[in-house]
Order: sequence, then C-alpha cells, then structure tokens
Amino acid sequence: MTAHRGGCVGAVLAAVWLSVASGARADEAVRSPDGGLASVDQAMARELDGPAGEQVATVGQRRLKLEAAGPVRVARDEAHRLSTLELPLGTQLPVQCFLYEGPLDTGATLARTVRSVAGKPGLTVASVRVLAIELVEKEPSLLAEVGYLVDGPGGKRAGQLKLFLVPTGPAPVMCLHDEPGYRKTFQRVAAKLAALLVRSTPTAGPAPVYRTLSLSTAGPMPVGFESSQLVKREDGSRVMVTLSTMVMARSPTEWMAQDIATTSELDAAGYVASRRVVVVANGEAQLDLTATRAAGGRYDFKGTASGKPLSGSFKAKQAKGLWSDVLITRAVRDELLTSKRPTLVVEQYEPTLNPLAVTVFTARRSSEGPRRIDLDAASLKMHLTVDERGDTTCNELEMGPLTLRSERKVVEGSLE
Amino acid sequence: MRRALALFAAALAAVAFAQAPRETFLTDLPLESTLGGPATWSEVTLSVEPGGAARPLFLERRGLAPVDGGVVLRSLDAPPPRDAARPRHTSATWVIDFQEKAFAGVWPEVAKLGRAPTAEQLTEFARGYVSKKSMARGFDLASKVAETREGDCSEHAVFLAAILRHQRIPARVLLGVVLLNVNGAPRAFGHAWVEAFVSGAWKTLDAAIPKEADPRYLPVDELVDEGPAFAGALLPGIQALRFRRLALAPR
Repeated sequence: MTAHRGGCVGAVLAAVWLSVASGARADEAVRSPDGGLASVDQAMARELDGPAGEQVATVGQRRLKLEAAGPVRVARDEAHRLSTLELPLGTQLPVQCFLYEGPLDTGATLARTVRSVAGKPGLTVASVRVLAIELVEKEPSLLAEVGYLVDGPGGKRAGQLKLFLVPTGPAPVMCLHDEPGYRKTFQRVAAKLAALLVRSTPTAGPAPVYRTLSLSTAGPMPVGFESSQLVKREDGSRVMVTLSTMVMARSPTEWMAQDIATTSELDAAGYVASRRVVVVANGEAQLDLTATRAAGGRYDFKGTASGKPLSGSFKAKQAKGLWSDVLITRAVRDELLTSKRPTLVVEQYEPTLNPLAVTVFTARRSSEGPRRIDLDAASLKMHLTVDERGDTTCNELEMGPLTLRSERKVVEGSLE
Repeated sequence: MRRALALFAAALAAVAFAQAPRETFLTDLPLESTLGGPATWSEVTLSVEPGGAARPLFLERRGLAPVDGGVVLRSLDAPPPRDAARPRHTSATWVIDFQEKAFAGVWPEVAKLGRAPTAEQLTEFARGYVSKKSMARGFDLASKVAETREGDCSEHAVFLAAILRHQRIPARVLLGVVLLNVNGAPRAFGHAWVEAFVSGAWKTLDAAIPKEADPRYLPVDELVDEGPAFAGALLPGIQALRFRRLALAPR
C-alpha cells in the first residue's frame, strides 16, 4: 500500500535537506543593494525573463530534452530506488528532482517537507500554501510552497521552498527549489520534466479497463484530487483502486494533508468481495481496515482505527453483498435516470465515516436538471451531476461556510 | 455516488474547530457587524439565521424558536442549561478514553492539584498540559492528546472532558461558534469546548481560549457518539455551521 512507502520518502527528504536547506542562501537571495526589507517582495516575485535554455539528459534508457541553463546532473540512488536530477536555472540553486519507481503519499510528503524545514536549527516556518493542483498528461500534479525565516547575522531573513509533485502514474516525481522567487519558472521546468517522464514511461502492470481522475476545490482553493481505476486480472476477477488526496489549510503555517487508499475486490457479478481502506493524515496512520465478505451478506472487518485495534461484523441487506461502483453506476443509468425508480438506496462500507457498519446512500433525481442527483449520506447532503452512463462528473458538498467540489477531469474506458 | 470519498475526506479534514486567525478559511465564519466601533457583548444584539435543516443547539438551550427563519439574541449571556447529567457523561469511551495507558503520566500531575480539584483547576491544567498549540491535528482521541500534548480546540476539549470524567465530574464536548473580539473587532469562529455538570447546571469550560478573551458561545451540536464512528457523527454538526447570516448590531 502507498501508506508503507513513506519511510523511504522521509529518508530521502531528510537527505535533501542536509544538502539543500541553508540559511545563507535565503540570506543572500533577499538582500537588496541597500539591505532593505523591500527586497523580500522583489525576490519572491522575480522570474526568469524567458526559458532557461535547453539541455539533453539521459535518464535510464530515455533521452529527455529539458529546460535548463546548463548541463543536467543525473545520478542513481539504488538504496532508495530513485534517480535524481539537478537542473540549473542560472540562478543561485538548481531545481532538484527525484524520480521514483512507485507512487508517493502526497500528504505524507508534504508533512515531511514542513517538518524538515521546521526541524532545522534557526529555521521557522512562516507559511505553507498549496498554489495549484492541475493535470500533467492526465496525471495529478501539486505545486506547494513553504515560506520560512532563518536566523542570519543581521536578523531573520526570508526563504522559500517550492515543491512540485506528480505522485502517481507511470513516473512519480518530486521537484524542489529552495530559493525565493522563480515560482512560475520552477513550475514550468518541473511540469515539463514530469510530462516528458509520463509520456516516455510505459505503465507497469495490466492496463486498467476504466480510469478516472477528478480534482477537488474548497471554495476557490485547490485542495485535492482522486483517481480510480478498475483492473481486470487474467483470471477474470476485478479490482477497483481509488487514491484520494486532500490538503486543507488549517492555519497560515499548518495544513492537514490526508491520503486515502481504497482497494475493492469485486466478484464476477460486481459485488464487493473485500474492501480495504487506509487513511494516512500528515504522514500518520489513522485507519487501516479491511472488510471481507463471509456468507449471507455478512462482512467481517478487522484492522486499526485511531491507533486502536478494531474488529467486528456488519450485514448488508442484500445476501450477495455490497454493490461495487460497477453496479451503482449501472443502477443510476438504468433506473434513476430513466425514472424507473424515484430513489436509489445503496449501502457502502465507508469506514472513514463509520467503521462499524454500512453507510446508507440515498439518491434522488433533482429538479435542477435531467442528470442532477441529490444524495444523502450520513446526514450529509450532496449534489451530483452524472453523465449518460450514470458515472459522476461533479460532486458538491456544503460544509459550514464553504462548498467542497470534486470535478471529473479525466475518464478513460468503461466500468462495464 | 461515486467519488463521494474525496468529499468525505475533505469534510473530515474540515473538522477544524479552533481559535484560528482570519487566514484560515475553514473556521472563520462570516460575521456581519453594524457596530460603529469596539463594543462589549452586553451592548450588542446578535441576529442568527440558521441554514438549511440546521437545528442549532443554542435555540434549545435558550428556549428560542426561529421567527421567519431568523433569531435575535438580545443577550449573549445565556443561563446555564440544567438538563440532567447521564451515565455516559462520566464514562470512558472510544474518544474520551481516560482508561488508556497514555494517561498514566497525566494522573500524578493532576494529583498535584489536590484531592478534589475543581473544574476550573482542571481546565487550567488542560490548558497548560496541551503545550503545543497546533492546527495540524484532525480530531484526536483524548489518549492521543495525553501522549502528544498537541492540538487545537478539539484536542483541548476531549482531553479536558477526559480528566473531568476521571475526577467523576460529568462532562460533554460541544461544537459550535465562538464569538471573540480580535483587535477590537468582533469575529466568529468554529470551535469546540466542554460543559461540566457542576452544582446542578452545565458550566462552560474552555481549555483553548482563556476567560480573559471574553468569549461567547453558540453551541450547534454535542459530541454524542463517542464511539469509533464519531468522525461521521460530527459531520452534521459541522454542516449546521452553515448559517445563512450571523450579524451583530448595537443593542
């Protein structure tokens, strides 16, 4: 599971910070000719006038044309099973990129980045921000920055660590740039590298028969993404894997970064044979529960929640078990959208809401439009938009003063 | 129904009740004000229009019913509720889990307060014990707070409720809105705090915000489900914070 990969990334980040984080660099970067504080804003806002240049780098079997002002240094770290690239911009520090062989926990990576900054002597975190969550070649990418203050000879000086992450897909990559300013330049350089890597890396394992990716916002702010894919194995069994990441600002210097990995094994008829949900918040395991179908619609669950062992059983109303996304989408298309039924009641195991029992979802066609659906679950009211196949394209939930919205950006293949 | 998980994740991450600064968009609730300048709470009237199906607990606590969808509170000083304490208010639960080993180091420190510490003494103890004021936690169990000594208002609240119950003082965790004067301007925040049953009434206790800050509280929900499903049970309360309008005016 992705939750178990964090230790490796943590070690890598620690190593990065030993070599990258330096008060002197931030100190020099914000010093104006007269040493005035106005230079901080200028330093934060600066960009390269144009592309840094073009360099060819060989990474494994691939030759990549990258934006860089000088030769790109490529190294292989077998211990961590990753490759590192240094792309000079013609500024004080190069962009450092780490190419991984497996997916990253976004939340854990962000949390460790902040902890790495905060843990340096004389360094204080001043701000954390998620700047953008966008697509790179149909994969999610996240751009974030950590502003910090570092003790220097003349007092505190400002520093800025920028982070670009493509955590999933065929070529997970993380890039860092520890120098005030050059935000757009960094994003452009890192995104170009990530796109080249995705395009030139074959997907490992069986290709999914269905894949979707949605991006989430809270009000105007980007907060997360979720990808799902359905894979058919050679023996005919199917597995649906969903990776969900949410990064919410909790204060100017803290965020709650949460990763949820859900793996559902489906039987031939589309019912859930087992479902495992793993939740990691700020790199800390919160929940790891697996529900396995027994007989007569009964499921036994076992694992941990809030750090405590938890086990038990619950029973689905249908003897065949819980519906998978395949059956739910089909029912929305064939019964709800065609008005064969006014409402659709579906049970699902969502241990983040209730680890002890099923959560009941009640869907009704909305008066707002032919493909609009009102959904009630656990006393929450959501508003869905679905496509002609019954698949959700947009999901909205009002929470306190803000509206959370998840919008589909990529859909490939079919659930059928 | 698909992709509900992403929103649930966000919703759970949004369980962020705290004394947050304005930059924290999650907890800073819109508050209209027609006050000309700084005013004490006794000089103001609060108008509240609950949103959607929200049934804020403060209506019950004050014996009020919405009029035309809105409520005007002429006084922000409500008499303390007097509903009876129940056995669950003194029990160890999944969330208020003071029976866990993590509290072993807490009790010797509590003992230093004397044989029968008051609710106020325990509140001050909790305020000091949770020494790292942090918004990076979600909604930790009391035993986790005992271990990490870290958190925001929800961690302060569950920890305080735990040590109150351990001293056999009935306690419950409330969720809702706190009104504060910040730099002379009234502000409203999502918040969590505690009520303890003392001398026949429920007394408001807050280990996160000191009395000197002169807070005023509008509860919208009580943490009733303290079992493993508590996170999902919290969500309707958070959704109830979707007020159509919170407005202060001169009295």
